[in-house]
Amino acid sequence: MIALTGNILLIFALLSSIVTLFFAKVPVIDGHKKYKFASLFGTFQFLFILFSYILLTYGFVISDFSLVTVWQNSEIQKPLIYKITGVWGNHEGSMLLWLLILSICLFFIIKYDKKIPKSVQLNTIAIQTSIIFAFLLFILFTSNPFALQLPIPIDGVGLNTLLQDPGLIIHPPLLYIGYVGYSVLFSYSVAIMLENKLTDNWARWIEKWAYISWIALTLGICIGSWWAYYELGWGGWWFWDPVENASLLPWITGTALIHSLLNYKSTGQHRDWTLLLSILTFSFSLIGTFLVRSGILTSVHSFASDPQRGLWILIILSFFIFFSLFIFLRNLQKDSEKKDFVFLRRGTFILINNYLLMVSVVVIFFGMMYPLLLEAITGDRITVGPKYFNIVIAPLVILIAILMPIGPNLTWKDNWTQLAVKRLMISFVITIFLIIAMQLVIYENADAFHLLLISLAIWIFIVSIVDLLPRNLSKFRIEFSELRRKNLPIIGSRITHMAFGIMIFGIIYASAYSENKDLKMNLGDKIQIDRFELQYDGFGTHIGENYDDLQINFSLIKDDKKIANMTPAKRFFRKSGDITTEASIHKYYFDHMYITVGEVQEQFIYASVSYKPFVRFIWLGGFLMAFGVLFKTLFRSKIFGTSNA
Amino acid sequence: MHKKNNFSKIFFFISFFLFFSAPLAHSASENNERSLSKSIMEIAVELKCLECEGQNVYESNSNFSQSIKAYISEELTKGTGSSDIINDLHQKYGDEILMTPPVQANTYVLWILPFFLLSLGFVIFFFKLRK
Repeated sequence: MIALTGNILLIFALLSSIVTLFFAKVPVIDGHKKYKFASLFGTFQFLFILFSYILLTYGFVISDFSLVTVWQNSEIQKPLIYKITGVWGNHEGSMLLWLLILSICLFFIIKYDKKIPKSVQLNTIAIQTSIIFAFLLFILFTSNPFALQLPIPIDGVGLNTLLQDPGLIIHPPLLYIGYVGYSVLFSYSVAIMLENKLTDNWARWIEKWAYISWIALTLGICIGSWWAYYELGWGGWWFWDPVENASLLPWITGTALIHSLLNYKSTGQHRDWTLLLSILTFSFSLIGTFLVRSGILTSVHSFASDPQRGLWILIILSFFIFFSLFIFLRNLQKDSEKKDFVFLRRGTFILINNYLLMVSVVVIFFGMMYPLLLEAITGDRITVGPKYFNIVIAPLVILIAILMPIGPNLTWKDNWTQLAVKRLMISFVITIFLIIAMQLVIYENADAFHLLLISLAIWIFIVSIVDLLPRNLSKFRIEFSELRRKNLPIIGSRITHMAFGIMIFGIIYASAYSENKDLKMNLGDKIQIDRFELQYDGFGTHIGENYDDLQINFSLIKDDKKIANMTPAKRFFRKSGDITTEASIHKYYFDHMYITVGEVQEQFIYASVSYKPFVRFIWLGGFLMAFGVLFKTLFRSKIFGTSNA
Repeated sequence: MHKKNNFSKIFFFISFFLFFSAPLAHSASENNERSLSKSIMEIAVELKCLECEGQNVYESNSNFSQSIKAYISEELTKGTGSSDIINDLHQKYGDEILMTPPVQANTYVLWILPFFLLSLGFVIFFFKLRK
């Protein structure tokens, strides 16, 4: 029953998308009616897809095992919350979520972007609909979540045990909102180019989407890395794994896009580059999906992959990428750039920013693909691991970190002002002072490289704060009210820059000063780690809803006083027999004590203990970055051309 | 005139900043009392688990990884140096087992490209600046 209804809903959605395309592009009727019908059927697409999504969720909740997807990825015993979120814990369901978000975006374009000229909007609706159409075909033919099976099995296979975790509840939807949010930018950009008629406002229409998608993608990546950190049990939070890289690439181009949009809004320069960036960003979302789903790149967190699906996505992505690039090249404006080049201007720094970010994208993408290319051409097999990426990305991060705080201090038009020089000087002195103080207080050793990066992180942080100070302290009140009225978006961008500094600080500090111990412990053994002692107190069991835990008890002791119990565990899932390692994390200010347990015997255990100072800065920074942009989005300066943030 | 002045200021800034931070670094002191397990870990993270998807030997618990870890442990107790152990495994399993690709004929492009693009940026930038 569910299977049939679901299929019908998806086919209705497909039909609606065809009708939408018909009204949007075929010139049978004109003007207002055309728009009205296209909007109506666009809304229908959204509703049909929404209902089919709700239906699939219902199928998961009532454990309808006549659906292959439900049977393969769920079980009766599974907690309700994982039944609901398990919908996107598998290939078919997650593609349906992709589609749902695509259609939600379409709905928002129809409903809320009213100020845009109707002709542009019709084109946008058409392009967004054709993306939906392509993915609907993909879902119906290669990954139908409503595929039926008979006879109906008694119980399901169960959800991948690693995915039964709170991190899974929000990570994929956020990531998808980010990926798919860029589809709107894509559609608008192509529509604008098709019209080849720019009103002043286009940067403002697409700016909103650039921010929202970026926020979602940033949060999604952060939560994903947090999930990997505590669930995979190795204490690492970024592995340069293909799936992670696939999410990082659109994030980087999206960051470049945000900066380029600011530049265009204020100076009217680099229009084509900005449009190209918005096309590229969505293209990278598609490429990421293709790489992960096709099984071309293997990764720890890919779903069961299938080459046939890969081929489909390859066709879809080639079509959209080549189509958009064709339109782009056709409409390239050759004479739009002004020729005068002033070095110390904000635009120059944004260009440098874009160059460095694009180099990172090329480098990461190349590093991901190189083993494949090499094997295809010469048959040699090599591995490109995290160390390679760290080595090649480090110089780029260093350059970005040096320049990042300087750019926002400059104006769009002229060389910089006395005020900017003064502020940078002050920040510089404070930074140096802080670094020296840090060296005096903390006696730990670090090599020059880590110290340089830590210094740069502090530099970014300090400049961003100094930049927010009022220009003239005696006029603080007037400045403050002015700040509130006009400069709120500036605060948002400074928060984001500052947060980037915090994140870099956390990343570098935690990797430079972490203390790790892998050891065998007998009952009652005490070990010393950083300022703490850790004592092994034996083990016990804990019964969970669909699993049993073997809990290993530790006491965390500081200055001869017990400050916490820590209980890392081995988790046995009853149904699948899978065993996962549950890390135990104790927070101490911004630091983490992190324990996982390997082999457990009657007399002794193997434990892996790390103390990671300032590791929480990584996610704090990440979330704060998203918050800064959210702040900026909410208080965007209303008038085109006057924004200077 | 004005332009040049400003440029030298910023240049001074950056170079001062870079040079000042460098001497602050202490040389990393070698800790001689490294436990066996730590050495195993340090070697194991450099090796890829060939049975798994995207995990290194240290992270993985597959049969392959366990046998490699046992081998490393055995060699270490015999007194073989870390780099010798890695070399032996490299000989036996080929380039694929190294997490970081070695710099050799078939990886020159991989290693040079990033730094080439970066220097290209510098060249373009200074070229534009001189104009």
